[in-house]
Amino acid sequence: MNEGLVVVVRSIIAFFTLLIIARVLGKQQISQLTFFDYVLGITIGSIAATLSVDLSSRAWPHWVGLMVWFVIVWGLQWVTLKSRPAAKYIVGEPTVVIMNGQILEAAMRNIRYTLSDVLEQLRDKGVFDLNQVGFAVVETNGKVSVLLKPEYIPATPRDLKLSTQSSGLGTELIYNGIVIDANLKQANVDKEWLEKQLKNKGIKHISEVFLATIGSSGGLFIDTYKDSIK
Amino acid sequence: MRKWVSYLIPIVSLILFIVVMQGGCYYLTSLSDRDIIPAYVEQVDMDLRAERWDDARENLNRLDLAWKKTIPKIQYHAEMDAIDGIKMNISRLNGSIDAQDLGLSLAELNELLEHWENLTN
Repeated sequence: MNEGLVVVVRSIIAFFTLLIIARVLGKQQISQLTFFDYVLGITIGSIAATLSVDLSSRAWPHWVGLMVWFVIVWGLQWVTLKSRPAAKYIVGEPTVVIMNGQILEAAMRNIRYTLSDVLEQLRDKGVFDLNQVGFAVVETNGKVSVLLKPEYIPATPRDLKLSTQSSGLGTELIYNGIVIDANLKQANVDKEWLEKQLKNKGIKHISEVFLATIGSSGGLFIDTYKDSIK
Repeated sequence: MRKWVSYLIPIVSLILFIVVMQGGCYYLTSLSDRDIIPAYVEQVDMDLRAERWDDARENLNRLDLAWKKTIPKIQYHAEMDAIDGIKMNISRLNGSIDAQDLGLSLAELNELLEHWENLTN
């Protein structure tokens, strides 16, 4: 038995099965994972690791186990998408821990959340004074969402009746010293214009540029390979 | 990429994985190749019962050779312990035939057959 070769084949099977499972289960971000999702991820990963390297047992039962976990998770996802009461029962619901500036100790006790956990998450969001907090809600993924009291909410340009321009998304024109022609066309500029702009900034050749992007307002950001940090 | 292609790739991959894990490499070989191990086991069994020790040794060597050729075909779906078990049975059979111990030889041969059935079922 060629153990190395068998591990290679079994690892390929485990890797691509996991990839297919991850793609089917969706694009939920790691930061949005609930504790249960986290444990599910570890379990599925652990089964895949065993499938890959545990030659003392057949690959098939591990793979079946992997697929069973996947089907259960997929089924629960489908149920939570279709039924709101089921979603509430399975995933749980957000818990208000500060209401109108009052800390709700009983609610915190119910979800096993300590005051220091709440304060830590508030500080993480830049809130250091409890007086500023109107509402704080512990979400199902364990993160705290904060609504400040109206007097502490920062003013927006709209509040100040200022006119603003949409900044839009930047478009990469040069990456790694190579001009991206499709993006030039999309930004309604040409190579001559780009070279002229580079010359104005003292850059002789495109290959000197690591990244050049253009904003929707036409502003050009250029970063060269040569960094002049003093 | 066309939508049907994006569905086809994972489906084909999963089917391929199932085939490999369920012993596709072994079952794709010809029927005569598949039956060769039980045939040699039967041959050795008959030799042992008739106490034809030289013939038993010769057929055991053929069985050993056939087994070594079979390993690459079954290694992707079989347990390492079962493969090692058959290797051990063949080694012990060598010893018991040398010692002309009928009881031990038959016991080893039956265990080998049991391992083989586990591997291929």
